[in-house]
Amino acid sequence: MNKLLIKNGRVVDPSSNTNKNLDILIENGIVKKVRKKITRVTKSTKVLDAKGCIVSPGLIDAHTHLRDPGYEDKEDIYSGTAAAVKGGFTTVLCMPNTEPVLDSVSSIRYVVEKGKESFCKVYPIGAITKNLEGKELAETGRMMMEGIVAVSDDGNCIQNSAIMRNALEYLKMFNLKLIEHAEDYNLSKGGQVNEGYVSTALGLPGIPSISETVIVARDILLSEYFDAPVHFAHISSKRTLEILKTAKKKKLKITCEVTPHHLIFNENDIMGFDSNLKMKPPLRTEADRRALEAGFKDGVIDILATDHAPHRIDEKEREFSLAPFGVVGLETALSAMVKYFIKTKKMTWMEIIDRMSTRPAELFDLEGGSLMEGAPADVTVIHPGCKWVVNTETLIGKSKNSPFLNMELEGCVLWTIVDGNIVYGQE
Amino acid sequence: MTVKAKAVRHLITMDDLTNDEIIMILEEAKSFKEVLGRDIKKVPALRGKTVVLLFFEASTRTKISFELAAKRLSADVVNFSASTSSLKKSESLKDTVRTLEAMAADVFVMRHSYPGSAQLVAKYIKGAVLNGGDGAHSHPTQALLDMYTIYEKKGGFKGLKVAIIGDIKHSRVVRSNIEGLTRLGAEVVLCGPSTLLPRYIEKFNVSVTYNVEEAITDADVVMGLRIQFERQKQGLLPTILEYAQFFQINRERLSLAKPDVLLMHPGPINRGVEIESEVADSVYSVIDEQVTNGVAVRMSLLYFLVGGKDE
Ligand SMILES: [Zn+2]
Repeated sequence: MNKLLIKNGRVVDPSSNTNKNLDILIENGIVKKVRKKITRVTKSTKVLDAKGCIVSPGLIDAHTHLRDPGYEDKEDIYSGTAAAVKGGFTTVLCMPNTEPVLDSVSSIRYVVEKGKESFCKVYPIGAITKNLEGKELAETGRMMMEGIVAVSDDGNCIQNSAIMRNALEYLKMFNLKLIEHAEDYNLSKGGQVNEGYVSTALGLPGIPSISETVIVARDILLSEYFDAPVHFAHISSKRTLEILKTAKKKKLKITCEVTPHHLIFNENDIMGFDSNLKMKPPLRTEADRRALEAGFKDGVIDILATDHAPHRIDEKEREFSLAPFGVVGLETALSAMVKYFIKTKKMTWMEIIDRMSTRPAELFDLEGGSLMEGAPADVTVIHPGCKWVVNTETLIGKSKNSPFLNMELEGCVLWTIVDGNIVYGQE
Repeated sequence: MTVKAKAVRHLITMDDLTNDEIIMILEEAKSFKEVLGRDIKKVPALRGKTVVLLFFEASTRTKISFELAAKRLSADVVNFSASTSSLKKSESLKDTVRTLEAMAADVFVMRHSYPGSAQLVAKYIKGAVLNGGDGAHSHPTQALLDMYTIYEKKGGFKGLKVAIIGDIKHSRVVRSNIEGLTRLGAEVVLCGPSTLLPRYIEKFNVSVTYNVEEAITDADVVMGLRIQFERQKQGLLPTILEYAQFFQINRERLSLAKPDVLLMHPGPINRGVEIESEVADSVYSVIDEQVTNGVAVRMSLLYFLVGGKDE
């Protein structure tokens, strides 16, 4: 029997509102016991001393681009999940904008199978429409049978409201959430950075924040009208947040996520044309950033999601306008939260772990997000005091396009445990 | 005796120059302009130096101006032209520039259609980068030649009203001009159709109006910007005719300016669109002189960046 004991750590488990020093005994991949002191263990039990550490239910990222199949030069399922477990994630949901697109039974099967041999749990998100073209619906039902946990055309946005309507109505049969990348193409066309002071100063075409807000508004209305849930990916603006707040007050089936970079950086950080700060939606103004921070704290924003989007260095070294959109995030998300939210006392461990583990599990109906007895033993042990510098050596994913490059972050993952197995950290 | 190598100076945006340096460059340009008036229009100031003209975007006027400036300073000139579209497909800018770096040139004059490109190139080479225009971002040599033209005629910038009229949004010149002129004490008024004024432009220490008469009234300098016909296709203007009716710099409107107003334009002009044809040829117009001044100012800049005092 495979036994593991995590001793002396501070267990922070939002699912049971627990925040105290407890020992956790894991047996056969399941949380067997959570007690003040567990001493009676067999000789074969492996003991991890988590003194001074936070013991959290395994982190869950609902928005990862693993780039596999098709773009393995940027990342693949092994390298991406290696990065994930280093960052404390035990589960990632991977987006379907691969080559081929994850819009078929065979491509979903490929990800599920390869995911099983990777470092953490990998759940694919299926495409809403075939080849992400926004025209014909993909085979949601058949893909669900193969293991998709949500659908999204992320990277793209269905412009035609009638097709969006069909998708929302069709999905109701399967109880799957639609994850929306909100972007009105006519308004965002050609844009490189947020439309505002910075786009004007740099002479770069702008992406107005309204290009996000109009789609969010449209989808909220569609969601209300057809009584179908919508989850908004990576929201970026104050105005978007305001209408989401109104929708949530009306108890509509609306949820949303924010990325670490939108919570921490703003458009002014791009004044030096750093393409590692180029992503969609773009970094907005400081007022937008502050509103997101408030929404993240008060719970209007449900979860944190990385939008981990690997791109090769040489792709990012191009002229700013030719560099691809997207930044990596799996390895830095937790440490960024520790440095900018926990150490600054803006939010508590309980709140951060809720947004990074318990809430994502609830939202997408996943196992995990809990350390209660009987839960799957997905655990992250975090040393809150350690500091590290993000650079091309410390990052282990294939791509290094991090907005935090050369910055110091706080908090390291000591152990990541998936189904009772140590997948990251010293054995 | 060993001489410590001078730190490489780049000129990417007007930010790279102090106010004193701007004046110094303009003063120096005066003497270079005098050289251009001589029979033998050449000085040995940059003998032995190599200037690479890196044009990733076609711009005959700017290129000729730089080439002439470099040659009149006795520099060796190497031309490299590649269209951005071919670059897009094959070799990256970094690789292209690294290859050229092997030539050990002293100055890279860089023209590119994408903002930030000059700054990017500066990261990969040892020589000085002189930005000859990077998209709608920055075009400091054009701004400095405009400033020179004003400086020569007006003797300074303090208290001057400069009206810039036209497509502000897509202009590569206007940001550099705003920065240079306002820093030296001029008042800049921008005027154009609301769809061709970028958002938050008023935060750049300028005033903005849609009324061309208001912009021109009492102006010391009126600068027209080129209106591209494609703005109509993009839905930013209904017709060029309507633009001309509301914004064209014509005789009647120009009469609202100071009697000694200077009429400027970075060229090439669309006669009958942004400027009435006869006004472009009037006594107020210094448009042709701007071209001559361009060579003198670029000589001055090349000399400023790599002039060989320290060797
Ligand atoms: Zn997206």
